[in-house]
Amino acid sequence: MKRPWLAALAALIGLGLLAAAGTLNLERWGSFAIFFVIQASIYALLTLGLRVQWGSTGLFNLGVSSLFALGAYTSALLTKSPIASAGELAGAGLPFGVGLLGGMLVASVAAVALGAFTLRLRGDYLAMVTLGAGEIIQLILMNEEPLTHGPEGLRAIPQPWHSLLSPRDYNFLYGVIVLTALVLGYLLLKRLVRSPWGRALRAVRDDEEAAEALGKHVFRFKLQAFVVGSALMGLAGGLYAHFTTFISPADFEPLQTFIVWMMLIVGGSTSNRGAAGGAYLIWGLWVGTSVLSGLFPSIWAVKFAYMRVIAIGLTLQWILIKYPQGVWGERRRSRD
Amino acid sequence: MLNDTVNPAITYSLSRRRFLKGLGLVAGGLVLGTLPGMAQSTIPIGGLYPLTGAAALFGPKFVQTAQLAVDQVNAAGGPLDRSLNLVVKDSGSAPQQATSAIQELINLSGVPAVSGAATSFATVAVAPIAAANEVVLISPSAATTELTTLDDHDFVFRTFPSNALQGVALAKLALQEKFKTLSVIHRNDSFANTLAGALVKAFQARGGTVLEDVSYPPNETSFRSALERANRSNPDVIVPIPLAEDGLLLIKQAFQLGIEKLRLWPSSIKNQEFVDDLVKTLGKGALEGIEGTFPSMPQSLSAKRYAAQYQQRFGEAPTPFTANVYDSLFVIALAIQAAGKATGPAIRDALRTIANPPGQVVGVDEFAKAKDLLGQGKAINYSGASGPVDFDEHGDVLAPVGIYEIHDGKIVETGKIPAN
Amino acid sequence: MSLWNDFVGQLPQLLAYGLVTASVLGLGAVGWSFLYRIFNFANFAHGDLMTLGAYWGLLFNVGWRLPWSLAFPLAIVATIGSALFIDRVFYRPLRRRGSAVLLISSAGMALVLRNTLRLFWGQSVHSYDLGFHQAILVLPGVRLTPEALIGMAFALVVTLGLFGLLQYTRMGKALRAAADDLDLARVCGMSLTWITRWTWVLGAGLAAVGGIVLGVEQHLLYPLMGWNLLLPIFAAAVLGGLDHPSGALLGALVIGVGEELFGFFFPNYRPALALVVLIGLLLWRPAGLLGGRS
Repeated sequence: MKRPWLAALAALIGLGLLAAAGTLNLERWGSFAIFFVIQASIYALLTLGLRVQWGSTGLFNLGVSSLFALGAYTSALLTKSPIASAGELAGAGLPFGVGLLGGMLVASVAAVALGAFTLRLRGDYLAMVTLGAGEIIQLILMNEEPLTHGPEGLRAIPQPWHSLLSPRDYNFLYGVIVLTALVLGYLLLKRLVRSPWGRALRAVRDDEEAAEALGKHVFRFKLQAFVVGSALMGLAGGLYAHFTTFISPADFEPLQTFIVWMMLIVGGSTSNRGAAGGAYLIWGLWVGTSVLSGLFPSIWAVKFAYMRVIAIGLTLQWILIKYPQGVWGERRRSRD
Repeated sequence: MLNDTVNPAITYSLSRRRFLKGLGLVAGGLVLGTLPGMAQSTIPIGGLYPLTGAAALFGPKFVQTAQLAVDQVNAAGGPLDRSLNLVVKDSGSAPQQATSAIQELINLSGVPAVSGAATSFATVAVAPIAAANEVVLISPSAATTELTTLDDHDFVFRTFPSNALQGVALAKLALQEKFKTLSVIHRNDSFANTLAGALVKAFQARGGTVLEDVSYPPNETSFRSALERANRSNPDVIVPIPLAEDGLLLIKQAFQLGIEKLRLWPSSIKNQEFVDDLVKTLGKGALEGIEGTFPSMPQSLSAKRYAAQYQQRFGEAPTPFTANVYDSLFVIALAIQAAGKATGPAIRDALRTIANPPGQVVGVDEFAKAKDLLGQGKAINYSGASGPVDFDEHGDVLAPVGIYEIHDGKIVETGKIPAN
Repeated sequence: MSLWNDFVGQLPQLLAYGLVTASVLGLGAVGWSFLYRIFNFANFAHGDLMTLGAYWGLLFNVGWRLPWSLAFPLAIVATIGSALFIDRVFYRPLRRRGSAVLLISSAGMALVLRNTLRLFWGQSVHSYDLGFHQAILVLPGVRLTPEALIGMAFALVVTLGLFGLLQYTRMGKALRAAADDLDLARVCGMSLTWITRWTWVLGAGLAAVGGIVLGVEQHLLYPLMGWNLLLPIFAAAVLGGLDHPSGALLGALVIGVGEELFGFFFPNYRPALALVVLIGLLLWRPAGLLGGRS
């Protein structure tokens, strides 16, 4: 077998689940697993979006959380109906699909607006501007109450085909939707990366001046990559909003941007597998350490919580040092 | 320089294999490791508190208080002669972590009820998960008015009253002190925003004038210009509505600037640690006579007993919301005892019967007595550390709102705001 | 009275507040831009390095009961030591891996630092053993606390000292050469270890001074104190053009003063101003305020 570690991992988890099934409810384990898969898959979509921007094109986007937020708020506002008793004003009540597409569209438009000004700047300036835009968008979400309902956020965001399953089992259905989106996004990127367009992007990334000299329209390629990546982030936002059914500015702190960057760099910024795998790995680290905390008596809980975050930080450093190309990175980077 | 440079990794494939194998081992360990927690001898109860992130100031106090309540219940025999096992999870700095944590509590630890979350946004975020899994969620500190109208199948409760109550109380206290004009300076988050809104509305409805309603972003560090703005039309009083450390920063900067009008405080800064720190820097005189509101029954027997026991065990005065944490755990224990089983729906259905009148009143640390009464088939009415803890049809409590005053560097509870 | 009239009346006072804010931002931004220039390293742990400096001061001043004149210099040394240790263990192996990897590494280090402080000091609030003073009239219409005045003076002296160092000493000239072109400097025989050491001595030293000044000025230390300043520090450094440390100082002045003036009108959007100014300026002058090269 090509990947013995994968088999070992699967066997271990399978064994563990079997052993657990005796004393605890397998269905509950399933519920937890599907919840994890949905969250990790949404992060994977974000990471894939960043993979197009950074891994393929070298665009230093530190505004991931803001594009995520735009997708989420747009999709929520397009699909929900305002709760009058809570003082909400906005909400269009349109179908789920329209919401998702709208979220992707708004994120893309924002990307065009941001990119048109900044993609000609030095790379690190793009980083600063997108970081700033992220903060500004968060402040707008907090303050423009008629539209966003301010820090109280938007709740009761509708879920598609909600009545088909009981609320407890609904996540299984939603998991299928999210996984479908992830697989489609993954396959799309795979094709794009291998297409002439993808090769052009890599040329831009590796040597901008040479690409320009070869007659490639560098700015246009950069903008296209920025928009494609941002649309994926907008899609992730929409999927997130309908998953949690409640969003507020707190969901879109700059911390989210760093988590997504961690996922990409750890997984390997130059491969789709790396992007998706990194998302699962890092989110698994966050959640796995939290699961561990349940094993300790509560008097240790406070110190454990601090040590947990320290451990996450140190593990990150270790992976960065140990895997120069990321855990799933290309062994040799193609230079075509 | 911006792009990753190529670095040949010779041992790459092998070490990756080893690394992922290790990861698999850890994952397998996790699966097996959660087994003891599911054993049926103890009843697991969740504590979902902020240990890292912006509200992290509250977390450690919440955990120790919850443990105090659980220890007392267990020492008195525990509900159904089983002992409670408090499982604490960090709600973290983002809702993504809070929702994942409550999933772990519900599906991996198998808790039938959760005390938490602390912040308003985290509570609203985890509420749908609790409701869908038929697990009771009792927040000790989420005050946002949003929680009242949540579509939660009645699984969401709180032991801290909605901001609608404290806002009115603050307005009444302001008028009682003959303040005719006021300005508000509040943090722009779900808790402070709804409290400021309720205060402004109530103060204006009672004939007061609100001169400025200033809000600042949650990660603000300099309040100087916001304070000058709040003070610009010379209000009689400025009400600060912060969440945690920001309150201390705000008050200190106000004193530095000579703006000494922040003399009406909400419950979030009724914190002896803060007052001690202020006394250390400002001296006692500056704080003398500052008043504030807190949504609890002052001077009640239960409240006094709670404060004494807390002081005795931890060597410090109770900090904000801890009385509500204590009550959230205690009512869960009572509900399990009354329901005869530890499942979410059973606890939900029993909560109002043990916490609301009619029934014989039981209070803080009286689990044995309650168990006795329930055993005799009598009704009980829990009246706890934070007040009577009577849940209405939304799962909200209608607590009386108390008044505190800073006197000689100590927070003293002086009375309560009349109901209407 | 209209808001505008009040604003005009308060203008000197608000400007003075701006200088206070700018002094702390400046100490952070000068050190940050220095690291950025030499290593192409956007240090996301810089805010937490400031917090660390402030907490070392707390350990020596409150924990060990040393007078501040002893405690604070010790804290600066300790912060530099910590930074060198972190660099040696974590950043050095990543140095050749590009700025994205270093950025992520420092963001992770920020988490580690903050939670290590929580582990040892708990989550409670702390303050130094120093007296508290109310604002005194400095100029007509301008009231500032002695702490703020001392803090500003300190910031000024330290940054001017640094500029002098860079301008007139052999070490400074060498460092500036390294900042212009690290590879060239190495070819010319400068040792990377030497450059690294002095870069961190200056960068972390300034961060420690910034953290301590902040702690003294606001009479409060808490784990998030430095992290909350990170964005304006970036903005100040980038605004200054990243070419010379004095640019970062100028950037800090623009951001600090601008924020306090803007904050009077829109307290709820106060941090946004720094970023709007930054974005506008980058569009207008992509090389920054003082930037010569593009």
